Amino acid sequence: MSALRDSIRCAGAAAGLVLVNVAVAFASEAAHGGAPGAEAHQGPDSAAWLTLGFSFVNFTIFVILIRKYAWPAISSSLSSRRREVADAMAAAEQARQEAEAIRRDYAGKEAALDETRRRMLEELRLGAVADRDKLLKEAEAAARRMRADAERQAEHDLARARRELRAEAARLAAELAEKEVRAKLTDADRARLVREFVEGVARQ
Amino acid sequence: MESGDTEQVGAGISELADAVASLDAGSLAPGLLTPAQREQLAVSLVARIGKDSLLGKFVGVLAANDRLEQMPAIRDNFSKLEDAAAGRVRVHVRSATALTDTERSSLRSKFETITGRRVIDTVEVDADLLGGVTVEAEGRVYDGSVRTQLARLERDMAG
Repeated sequence: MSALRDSIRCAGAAAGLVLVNVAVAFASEAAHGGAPGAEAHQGPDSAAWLTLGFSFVNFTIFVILIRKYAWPAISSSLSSRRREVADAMAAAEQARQEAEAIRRDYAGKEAALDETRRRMLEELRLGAVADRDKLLKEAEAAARRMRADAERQAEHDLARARRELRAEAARLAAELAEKEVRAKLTDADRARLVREFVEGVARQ
Repeated sequence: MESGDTEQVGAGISELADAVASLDAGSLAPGLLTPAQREQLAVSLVARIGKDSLLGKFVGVLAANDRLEQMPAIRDNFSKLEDAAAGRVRVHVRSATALTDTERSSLRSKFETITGRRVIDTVEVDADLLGGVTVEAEGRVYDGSVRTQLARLERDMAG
C-alpha cells in the first residue's frame, strides 16, 4: 500500500510538472501574439511547434517518471491484487470442490440411507414372516398336544368309567349273591362248608 | 427253669401285660415318666408276685430301661417260645355259626397234621362270614368262608 501511495505521489508530481509546462507555453504564446496588431518575429507555426515540442518532452518526462517511480508500485500492486484474486478464486474453487464433495457425500449417504431403509424394511418383513410361521407352528403343535391330551383324557375317562361300571356291577352281583346266600344257606350247607374246608385245607 | 416255673412265669407275664394294656395308650411311652415314677409303677405291678422274684427283677429291669410299654409284646413272644418249647401251636378259628364238637375236633386234628404239633384252639363266632370257617395258625390264615369267596367273585368280575 505504501508503494501505491508513492506511485500516487509521483503521478501527482508529474501532473504538476505538465501543468507548469503548459502554463509556460501559454504564457509564451500570449507574450508573442497577445497584443493585437503586433507582428510576430517567428510566426504562428514556430510557436505551435515549440508548444508541441514542450508537450512531447513533458510527456516523455512524465512517462519516464511514471515508469521509474509509479510503475513498479502499480505493477506490484496489480500483481499482488492478481495473486489475491487468484488465491480467492483458488479458495473459491476449493470451497466449491469441497461443497461438491460434501454434496456427493450427502448424495451417497442419501442413497445409502434409502438402501438401509429398504434393507431394514426387508428384514422387518422377513422377521415378521418368520415370526408368523413360528407362531403358526407353535399353535399347530399346541393344538396337536391339546388334541392328544384330550384324546388321552377321554380314553382314560372311558377306561375309568368302564372299570367303575364293572366294579359297580360286580358289587351289585356280590350283594345280590350275599342276599341269596343269607336267605337260602341252611345249617346242612354250613356243616358241609366246614367239612369241605377240613378236607381241602391241606391244599391251601 | 422247670416246666412248672415256665407256666408260672408265663401266667405272671400275662397278668402284667394285661395290667399294662389296661393303662391309657401311650402313657408308658419312653421318656414320659421319670425314673422315680417308673420305679414306683414297677413296684405296684409286682406287688402280688414280689419284687425279689425272677419276674419282679425282670420288671425292675424294664422299668429302669423305660421299656414297660413293651410288656404285651413280651407276653406274645414268651407265649410263642413257651408253645414252641412245649411242642404246641395256638390256632384261632372264626366260624359263621357255632361249631359242633365233632367239627372242632376234626379241625384240631387236621391242623395237628399240618403243623406237626399239638393244637390249642380258640373259637370265635362271626356271622359276617356267612358260612365256612377261617383259621389263623402260626401267622398264616386259612380262609374257607363264604364271605371271602364272594369277595373273590366280586374282584374277578370287576377285573
